[in-house]
Amino acid sequence: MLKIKRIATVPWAALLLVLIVAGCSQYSRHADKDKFGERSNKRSMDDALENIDRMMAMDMSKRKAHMMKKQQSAIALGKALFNDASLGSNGNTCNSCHPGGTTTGGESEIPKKMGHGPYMLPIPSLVGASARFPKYKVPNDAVITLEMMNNNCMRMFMKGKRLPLDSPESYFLAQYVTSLSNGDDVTVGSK
Amino acid sequence: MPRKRLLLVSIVVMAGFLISGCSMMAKMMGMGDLMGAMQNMDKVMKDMPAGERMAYMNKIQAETLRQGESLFKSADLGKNGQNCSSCHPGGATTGGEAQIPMRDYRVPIPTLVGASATFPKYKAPNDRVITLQEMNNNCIKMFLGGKALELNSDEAIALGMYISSLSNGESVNVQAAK
Repeated sequence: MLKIKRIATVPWAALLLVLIVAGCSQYSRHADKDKFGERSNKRSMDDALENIDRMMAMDMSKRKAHMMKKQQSAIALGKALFNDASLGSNGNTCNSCHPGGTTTGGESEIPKKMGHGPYMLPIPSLVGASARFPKYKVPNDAVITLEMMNNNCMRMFMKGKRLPLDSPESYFLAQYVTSLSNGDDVTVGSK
Repeated sequence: MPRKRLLLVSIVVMAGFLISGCSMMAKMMGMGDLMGAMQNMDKVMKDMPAGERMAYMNKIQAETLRQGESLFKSADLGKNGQNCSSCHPGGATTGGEAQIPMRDYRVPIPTLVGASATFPKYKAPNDRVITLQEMNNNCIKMFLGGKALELNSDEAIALGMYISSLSNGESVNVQAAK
């Protein structure tokens, strides 16, 4: 009797362990992507101070060059994502609707789904678009940021998954899309 | 008896497994919130009279902006009694410097007028390009002793909107790729 019980417990304990490990790894998956963003406050302050110390140890010209390199590579990577069909699953890229950051001038369809829609939406140019965010957007029925708007497009028109808001992909793409509005006046919330 | 109990336990575990698997799958496919998006589209584009839409959107924007402004002045974001406007009165600057906690470095306090127009930008504490909402979190953590706001929370968005509105009329100027 005791023996049977013991034998039966082992696989269940193992399964439970596997489940716990799988569950935990789900939560810690993004932990290293954004050290100052997601870790516990104390840990993340340590990361911030480490970064600041490293920057302060550099001389001014080296620091400037480091910053420029990071900014320019972010925009370049963002531009690559803008032209990358792997953000979606229907072959479309951001550039399909917004060639060179502008508009095809056409409309984009949100296909009918379980009794809802379809809706046809005019495709806007992205030149000047970022200057109006955060703003109200109907699909969210709330004010959203530019990064969230990018996610809207990916999910609605590219059949893609949303990018986590603290992922490098999300802010690279946001920086490129924002750079399309360089020189335009900020008018938060306007049409 | 133990066999019966075993069966029960196994059923419960399998059910839990199935439920978590399904919800994970739905999340991964982005189904839940795409459905929510369609429902919102119906609510505003189909069910709401066209003449009311603009006023409705403006109302939500105005409310969000107000929420952002009150967060800007709220010491609840931090733990040391400071709020955003302690360093940035009316969105401007005291003209002084702020000390990085546990270090001797002092950084000049910038005005927030025009600031949002330069984001996303590189910031040393993160050693990468960050968004405005993440910069707000930097300040909350470093100078208010508070906890970061979830980036998709109403609070983070409202605060971001209020601070962005301080740059109304300024030109967007993120570092162009040369």
